[in-house]
Amino acid sequence: MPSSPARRPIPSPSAPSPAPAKPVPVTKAQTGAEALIRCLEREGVEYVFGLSGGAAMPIFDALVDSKIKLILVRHEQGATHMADGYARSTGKPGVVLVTSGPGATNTVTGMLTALMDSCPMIVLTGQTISPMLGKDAFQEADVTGITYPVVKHSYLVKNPNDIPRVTREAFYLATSGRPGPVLIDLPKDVTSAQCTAPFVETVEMPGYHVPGRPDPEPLKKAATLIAKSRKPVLYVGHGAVISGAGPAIIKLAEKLQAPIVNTLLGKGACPEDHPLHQGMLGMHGTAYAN
Amino acid sequence: MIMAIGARWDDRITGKLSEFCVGATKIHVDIDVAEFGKIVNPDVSIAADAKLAIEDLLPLVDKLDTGDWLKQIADWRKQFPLKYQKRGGLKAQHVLDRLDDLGGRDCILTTDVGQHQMWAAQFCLTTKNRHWLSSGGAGTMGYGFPAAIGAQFANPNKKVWCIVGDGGFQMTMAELATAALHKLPVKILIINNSYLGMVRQWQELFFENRLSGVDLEGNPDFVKLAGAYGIKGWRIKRPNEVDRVLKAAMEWNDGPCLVEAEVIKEDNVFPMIPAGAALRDMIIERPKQKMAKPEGST
Repeated sequence: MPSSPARRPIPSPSAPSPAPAKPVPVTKAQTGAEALIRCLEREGVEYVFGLSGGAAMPIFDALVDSKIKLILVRHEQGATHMADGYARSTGKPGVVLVTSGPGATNTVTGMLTALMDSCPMIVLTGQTISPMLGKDAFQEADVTGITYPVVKHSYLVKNPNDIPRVTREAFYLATSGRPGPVLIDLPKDVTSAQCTAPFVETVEMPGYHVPGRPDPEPLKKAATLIAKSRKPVLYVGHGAVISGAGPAIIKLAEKLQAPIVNTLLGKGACPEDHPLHQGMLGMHGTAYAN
Repeated sequence: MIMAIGARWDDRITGKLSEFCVGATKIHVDIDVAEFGKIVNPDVSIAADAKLAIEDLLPLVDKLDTGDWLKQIADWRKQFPLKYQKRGGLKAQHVLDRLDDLGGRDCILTTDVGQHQMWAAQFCLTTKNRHWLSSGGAGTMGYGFPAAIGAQFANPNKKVWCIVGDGGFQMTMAELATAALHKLPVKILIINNSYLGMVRQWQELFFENRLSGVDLEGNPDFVKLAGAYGIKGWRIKRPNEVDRVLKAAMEWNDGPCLVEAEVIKEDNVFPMIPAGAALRDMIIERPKQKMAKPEGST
């Protein structure tokens, strides 16, 4: 799957194969855009941060009949950071909706920000009609190409019947494992055409493996090394925030009687006023944390 | 022994890698296996969710004899506390220190990127998960204000403060309209030193104070700008105004509000480890001698 090389998940033969998709029948005829919005509702989306434009008009039109609230921004970069703030403060993915060309390229900085800081985000971009792709159509840009290094994964949807599967996969990828931004590029003819495919509940991505519980072996080895340690330090990063590991880390620090330091983004995982907490380390961290 | 838990040995953490924690045992817990060995080769790598890893590790470990170690750290804390001069004009550190005391610790804080971000990280302690939102890896100026809007939509019952510099705020301040329209009670604190302050600091310390591309002459009157959107604004010019204004802003609930703190123009963030230097080369206060240009990336 296209994904930035450093983040490419390593397929694991031990990965449990996901349960087969449970098809949910479509109840009535709908356009690709309407199916997309129903998918967002099914994912529990409350807000979409966006700015409209020609290629995204079917999607904005479908939003009119949805309970999802559209927050109209003044610049697409603002939409991405709003979605980011929504996501980091809740753990739920933030959703961005913009049009093609400049609308889409204005989201690049926000996606880089989200990728570097492992923030779950879904970016929906309108695109010119698929027969015109690559022909310099009005407000056309190769968005999946331009954004390739700043997404965890991206899709260019060519068939409206792919929308339910792609949307489910995008949310799963954005929020699982190390979270990140996932982009879905949606040509206007695809969002305007009929989608008859059923909604899907589960994803089938055999090459994508997300670690969960640790293997016992490295854990035992770590415990042996910790037992030999005289000057232990727990160095806590954003992953601890994302995972909600704070209370467990406090227990570990108190049990070992080990000091805690955090990175800029690790702030808040463990309360910084805890007696064993030494504050932030690094370039502008405290002297005692370093 | 240093145990990284959901952290990636960033260059702003390690400084000069060849002198970072030499001889220390390194344990790395990460959910992304691509991080193992990217910067540091750990003695043990644990590929797992951080919370599950620590929970499973807990029953396998016992109390360590760290009395001397903790005492040494306590001595360092006494010897090198975070500090700032209270005299000589309005200090950003003073404003942020007071924000922490006046209830900021219970609020969601977002920041932009630069000096104000580092001072906020130092002086505003974070005690709750997901209450500190800041652009770390990318260092995106313009992040703080829209991120605060998103956080406020998601958390209508929490107070959200957005701490920004005068430079970064101007990159995304068009969203004042979005905040005003939705009457979002976001509190905007602009630490205004009329400079791209962190770059000015580097130019002062490492480029013989040859200032280039850092003077933000031409800044607007931010309080008047807020007024143009129907947003309440205050200006702080003197230290004795800080508490009154921060309290008023903390209680303000009729849509967004903005506080412009006109801080002294030329202040530096310390401690500082120059990019690419070893941790022991930390600068605690303004150096008297000329500094070499940093070797590290940024």
